[in-house]
Amino acid sequence: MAIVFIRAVVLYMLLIFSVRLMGKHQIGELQPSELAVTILISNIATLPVEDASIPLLTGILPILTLACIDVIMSWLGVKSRRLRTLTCGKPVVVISNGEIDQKKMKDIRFSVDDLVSVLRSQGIFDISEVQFAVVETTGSVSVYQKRPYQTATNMSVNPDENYDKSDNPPELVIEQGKIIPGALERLKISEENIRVILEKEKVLMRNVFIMTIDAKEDYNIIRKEA
Amino acid sequence: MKRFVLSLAILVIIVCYSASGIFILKEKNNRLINLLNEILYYYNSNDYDKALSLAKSFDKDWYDYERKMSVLVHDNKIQNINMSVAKIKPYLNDKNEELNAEIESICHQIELMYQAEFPTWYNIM
Repeated sequence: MAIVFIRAVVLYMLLIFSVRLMGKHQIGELQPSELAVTILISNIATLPVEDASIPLLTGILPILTLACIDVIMSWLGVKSRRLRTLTCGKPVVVISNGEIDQKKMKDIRFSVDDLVSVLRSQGIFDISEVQFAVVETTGSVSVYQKRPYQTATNMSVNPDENYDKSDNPPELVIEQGKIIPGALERLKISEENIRVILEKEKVLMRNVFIMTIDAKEDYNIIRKEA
Repeated sequence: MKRFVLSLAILVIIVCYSASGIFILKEKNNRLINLLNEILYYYNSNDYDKALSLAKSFDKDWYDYERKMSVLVHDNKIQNINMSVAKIKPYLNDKNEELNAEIESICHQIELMYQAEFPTWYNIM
């Protein structure tokens, strides 16, 4: 039993390492090649955990090999468009100028039901509102609505409005009474300023649950519950 | 770029480890087979004491080999050989005629283990 436990811990850590190595892609929507690697890795990892007679190394080696090949292929894919097309495929335009390309839809075996369901999930219930739609390589659909149906933006309502280019959202700077490394540097605010704010609010840093602040030093402090 | 270099380094380590594993396996196999042949030679020459002392030395080598191989190959393959290895000393003590067959069997299985690990087309497929 102890062996199974230790093997599971080792493989858990290895999987975390592999997924971290493969990067953020692996956590979000998967490209076809990444999906293949993920399925393979999850399958391989279970074998040495279940069966103690299988050497752990026969699980570790293929997992590391697949993760490393995935990283190398995606790195090469960034350099070569042809390779990227080969491993990930190409996005397919299914609606252009408001017209559905039925041949393309048939080619990628994308039914009208699939299309309508994706549009509905994006809040579009009438297909005639769509100007342009692309089925991405991850299988998600990107939609560009016809101009009259597009949501108004600040730019479209007030094109001459001046805006502050450094208008970033507030950042979390203290969590559970501890300053988050890097956050203050990004905001260009010193730790001393934070201490002054905390003194002004009469709260000790260790009693802060979370504190957010933006570059203009507008802040929000939530105290720890007693 | 950091991830790419790390991945490349890990792949190189894996390839080197796999290649060296095969060479080490071959070398260890040769040593074991030579020892077994010597045991057989002395046994057939009726020098039982010498054969027995070689069998003890073989036991030590086998223990070391078994430990190392259990990291690389499936336990079942090693256990099969283990059964035959355990019979060597009793057969030598009893001067049993089956010793020849048992040693041949061990040699064959050790050789098979190497062949199964060598990356040939048939093994890969």
